[in-house]
Amino acid sequence: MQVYPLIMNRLVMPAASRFTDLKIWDEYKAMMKSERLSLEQLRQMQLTKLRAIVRHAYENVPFYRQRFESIGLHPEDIKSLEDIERIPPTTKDDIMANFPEGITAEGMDRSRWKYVASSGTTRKIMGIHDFRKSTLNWAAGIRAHRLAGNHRMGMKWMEIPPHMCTTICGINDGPKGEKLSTKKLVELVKGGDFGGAGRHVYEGLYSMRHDLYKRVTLPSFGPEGTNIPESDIVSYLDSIRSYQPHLLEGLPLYLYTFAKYILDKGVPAPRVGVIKPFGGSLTPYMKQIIATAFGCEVYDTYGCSELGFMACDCPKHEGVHLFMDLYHVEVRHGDRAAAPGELGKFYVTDLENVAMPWIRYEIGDVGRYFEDDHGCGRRGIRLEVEGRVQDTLVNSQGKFFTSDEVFDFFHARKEIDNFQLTEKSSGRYELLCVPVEGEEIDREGIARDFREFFDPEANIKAYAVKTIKAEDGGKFRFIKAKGHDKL
Amino acid sequence: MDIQKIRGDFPIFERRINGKPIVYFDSAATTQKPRQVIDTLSNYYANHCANIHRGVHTLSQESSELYEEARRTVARFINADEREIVFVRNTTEAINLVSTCLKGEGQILSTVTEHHSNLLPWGRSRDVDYVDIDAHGRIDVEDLKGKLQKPTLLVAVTHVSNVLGLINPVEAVIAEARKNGALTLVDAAQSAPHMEIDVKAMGCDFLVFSGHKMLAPSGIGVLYVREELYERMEPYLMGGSTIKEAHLGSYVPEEPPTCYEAGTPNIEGAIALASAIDYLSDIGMENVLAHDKALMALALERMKAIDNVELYGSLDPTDRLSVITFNVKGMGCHGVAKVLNLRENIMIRSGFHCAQPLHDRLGIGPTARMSFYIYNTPEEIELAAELLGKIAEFI
Repeated sequence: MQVYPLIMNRLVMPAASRFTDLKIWDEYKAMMKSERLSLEQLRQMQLTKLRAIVRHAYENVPFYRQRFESIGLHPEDIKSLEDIERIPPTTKDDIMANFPEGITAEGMDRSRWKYVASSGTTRKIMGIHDFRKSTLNWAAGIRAHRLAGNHRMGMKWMEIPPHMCTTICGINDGPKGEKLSTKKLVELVKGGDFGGAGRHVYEGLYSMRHDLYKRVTLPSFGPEGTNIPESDIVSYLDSIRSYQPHLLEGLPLYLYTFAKYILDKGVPAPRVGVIKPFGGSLTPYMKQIIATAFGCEVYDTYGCSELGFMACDCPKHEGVHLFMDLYHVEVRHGDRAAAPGELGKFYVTDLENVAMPWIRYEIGDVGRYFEDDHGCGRRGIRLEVEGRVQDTLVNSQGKFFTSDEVFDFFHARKEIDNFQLTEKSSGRYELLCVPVEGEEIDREGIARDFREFFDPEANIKAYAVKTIKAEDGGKFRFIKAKGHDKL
Repeated sequence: MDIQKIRGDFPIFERRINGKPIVYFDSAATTQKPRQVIDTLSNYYANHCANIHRGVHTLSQESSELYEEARRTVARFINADEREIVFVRNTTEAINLVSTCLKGEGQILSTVTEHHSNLLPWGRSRDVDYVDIDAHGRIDVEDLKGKLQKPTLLVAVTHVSNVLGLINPVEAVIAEARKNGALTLVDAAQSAPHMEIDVKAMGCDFLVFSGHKMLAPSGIGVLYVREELYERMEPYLMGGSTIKEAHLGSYVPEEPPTCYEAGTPNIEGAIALASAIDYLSDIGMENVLAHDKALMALALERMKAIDNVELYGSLDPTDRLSVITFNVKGMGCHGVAKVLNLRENIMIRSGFHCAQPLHDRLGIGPTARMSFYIYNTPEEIELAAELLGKIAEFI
């Protein structure tokens, strides 16, 4: 291992755990131990934590107390993991309509709570993490990096997040931490305020975390949309080449754009240890193209700003393993639990956030779960996240098509570089296509093949465009559907 | 001024979202529309719709008369002559028109407190310098005096900041500009809806504002040009309405203001703007101003008392008009806006409000902004302040 990561992993983080209340390293170690538990042991742990969080929510959080009482549910009624189905789902509107005092625990010390928020503006969701939850989430991030791609703290890390419009709209408006000051630290210790000193170290490390992580951030594609000028792609690749990160993270579309360019133009790929797309759905086709172009492993992770890191890939790449010690995830098809491998909506329960419990949170993603042992050594259930609920199409026979499936269908066509499919009304679709350089859009072929793939009755019209614009927050929606509420 | 009667004129306030009424605090971006304005638009379409100035038939003549009467209404509203009123799409277009059509040498002086619309058009083809703000956030007249030592064609200044809500000393700015032979353009987008404007008393050379911020539809705005200045201007759009006669290879230009309204204008927008002005005039601009001031004083008092809320600009209510900008410590402005919206349908704006240089100057990121108008009530401000207090003092 290189010297700096060695110092970080063997010295700095363990020392912080030992001498301050910043127990990231201890939590990380405990989490890594839980990865060796059997599925049964993990479920038992989930049940214990689930019962505790439900009791806590009932006793301390007005929203949940009212909700449980309205259906006559008492925490003691939760005797198995399946009993959670008796609790109505918590929607994003529920969260925001009660935020903050109605959805957070009463009577707790709020001095070290932090606001967290999803990116964007129109669909923004606010949350609160208490100090322990923040610590756990930090540890879970280290765990995800370690398990998916063997990235350790201190190894070079480059990211290209999706947030567009940071200068014009000021979307990145989150709180900024206090910088670490030796003078202040000495003053606090001299004054006997060891708790304050610990808190100051935490704030300082938090504000310095990018530097500590050797983490470099490149700007997003911005308002250009999917198809940025070639010179911009070259510039991104030069930056990556020059930094040589062990870990490269970015919006899947960005990484896919670089990969296509590398393959199409035959340019040498930058040296990268491992790639982790984030902030959007990574389809099997994209994953394959990115891995081929960069010549390295592509690992998937799953999580969101309001909850935290929830799951990560393993070397077998057959879905992401849920961090079952931290979260419970249900997959539901309509009003019943989905069977393993069956498509459904995700409902997430955060087993650790006592400041702001999230119980059966309707996160807005669709996918499948698998509980078989596929031999990687980790026994947490695997999730295949296949897109957003609102991006899921349903045909006239009631069959669902996830955005991943539709994405891979269109990207398999040789003339389509990028696309956006909008369901205008039932059975009528508008397809915007960015053609591959030198290719023409085959409108009739697209219509014929789409009817065969999706629905014989589908009426689709294709239009050639130069780029697909990003949504609020800089992310892309490639499918805009109407029928998802049936899922 | 009967606020409940006024609210009754606005159909949108009958709407309920999740069973609750709408609290609209985003009037600095655009205002809601009273039934009288909506009816004027409907009536135009139902009874008078025709193109103007080109027909001898009844509908065209009626339409032309309504359009020109709208021009006279606007002129009277700001104490101008009707020949000094050019209809444009909005404030932005008005400023672009002046920046493109005005001939002459010398720098342009803008200020750091301007909306992007009063910054960007000037920098395209001219030298621009920027006047600073004082400790309260108002335009620094001393800094202006210094910068006027260089030959200056025009000083472009906002009357009321769309971020800080501060009323700028435009009379002093105009006096200094005149002393140095410079013209002045006043951006009245945030002032014309709220206070009496008298261009003659003010002494400005150009004044611009938008209809949609004063109860009228979007897509109609006003450029006031002091009549003598048409001599120093040249139309930048040519076509229908800009000529008296045209031949292959030559034309005879139309007189202003018509020559600056190329093509078919927003006829119904102008007529509806006149209706909005009539509505405001019936209330009385002095009453509108007094109502705004009372709301601002209450909002400042309540918000100053909330811990963790940082207010920007002077905290003296007499300095301000209808806009209050703030941040909640530790919480992003978009989050604040979202929570207010989802909990009580309180609709405020968040971001840089098209005035990023001012945010840079103040050393702050994006901000949350509440802006009030004639239909807002003290009860709505109490509701917002109470909820804001819960959010801000929570952590």
